[in-house]
Amino acid sequence: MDQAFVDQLTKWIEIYGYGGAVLLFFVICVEMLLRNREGKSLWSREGLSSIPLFTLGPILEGVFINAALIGGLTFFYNLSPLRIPVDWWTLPIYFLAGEFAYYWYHRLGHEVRLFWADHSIHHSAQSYDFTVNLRHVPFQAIYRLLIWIPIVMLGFNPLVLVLFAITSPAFQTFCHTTRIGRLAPWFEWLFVTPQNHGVHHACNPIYIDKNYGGLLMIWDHVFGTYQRMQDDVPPVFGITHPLESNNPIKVIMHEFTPLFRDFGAAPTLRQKMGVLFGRPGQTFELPRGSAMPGALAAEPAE
Amino acid sequence: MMPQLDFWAVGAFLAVMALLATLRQSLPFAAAQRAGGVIGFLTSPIWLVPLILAMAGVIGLMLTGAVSPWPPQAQAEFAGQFGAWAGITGFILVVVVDLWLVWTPSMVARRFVGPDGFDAIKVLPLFNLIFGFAFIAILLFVVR
Repeated sequence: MDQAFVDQLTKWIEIYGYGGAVLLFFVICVEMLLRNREGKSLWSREGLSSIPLFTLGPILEGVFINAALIGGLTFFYNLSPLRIPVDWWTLPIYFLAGEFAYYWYHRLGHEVRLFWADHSIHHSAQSYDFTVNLRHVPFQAIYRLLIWIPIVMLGFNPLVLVLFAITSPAFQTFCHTTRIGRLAPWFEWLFVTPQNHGVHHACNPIYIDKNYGGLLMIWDHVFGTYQRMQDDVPPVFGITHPLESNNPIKVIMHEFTPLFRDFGAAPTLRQKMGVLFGRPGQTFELPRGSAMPGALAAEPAE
Repeated sequence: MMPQLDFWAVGAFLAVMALLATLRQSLPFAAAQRAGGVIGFLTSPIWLVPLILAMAGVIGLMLTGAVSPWPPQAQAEFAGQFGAWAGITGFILVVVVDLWLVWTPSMVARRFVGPDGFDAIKVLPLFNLIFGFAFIAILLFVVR
């Protein structure tokens, strides 16, 4: 890759990150203000417990893991003879490819137990407000890399993909709230909205494993995972094995601990592999100590 | 004389459309009314989509001191580096971003908030103004 282009795009990713941080700061301030107006404390305990997890994003991910991700993707990009030029007319293709990559990386995060152990950290909050944006996960770059390698091997420039990839969390910053109701029907159909993403964060059986899109819902429509929020099914936010602690270490280990325990206890190699790579709720599993009171019927993690 | 069309001319067109859509969203009575025909097309929220990239990008550029939050200054900076159409694009984009910083989010929130949250959200326009102007003041007097 042309070094000047790489430098320019890397700089742009950094600049975009700064802007995203300001928008995040704005919504967190709004959350505090509105909580105060609603007669609540400025921060919920759960919101406070998300603050230490935030360091997993800007520091661990932003500084180290994204650099490793870009490095890894560039390695595979350089192996491929295919090239899709970065030009104004290819940007929509890049955008759709980026959305496709985001959809599958996100779906993998929900439907493979090893990755769900990581991604469930973000979903473990039982409230759905702007502080959920702070609840970052540490290892997502690993499964992001797995999904993106075939895409960069097709000739898509990895830096442009990473730039598009960070637009999704930036956009979703505004979606983690229950205060905004349903938007125009066409908008709800096409875009990730507070309601669409609320469905994604809910653990009601009808809402589990739905709405994986980053900015657009189109790949959810294509792969049949789109679910509109039903007026008669209010969302229950959180995960099917709810977290009963605000200790950040427990938040991080909540799904990893049973994963390791089940892996150790699984009697056969096939079952051990199932524990790692099977679908949550459908693998070998020892009974959990703290079952959900009045547990939801469906076991699979959202 | 009109400057020669280039890539930035497309940017200027998209920025104008984003500005029109932003203005409509900034006025709740206008946003709530069903607009068809030319007005509906010109002010459709679909024109806000490019802002997903542009908004955080422009704010980031402002934070690094590369672009001023004052539109005429931003116009001069863009035009000096990339030409006349870039200047026009920069001017309009900064107006759009400034509007979103100081006003528009609170109006969008007011339109779509549920009945339970309406009382709490009444104060949001004031907060939006304070936050936006404070941020712009920091950019103007500290960053630059």
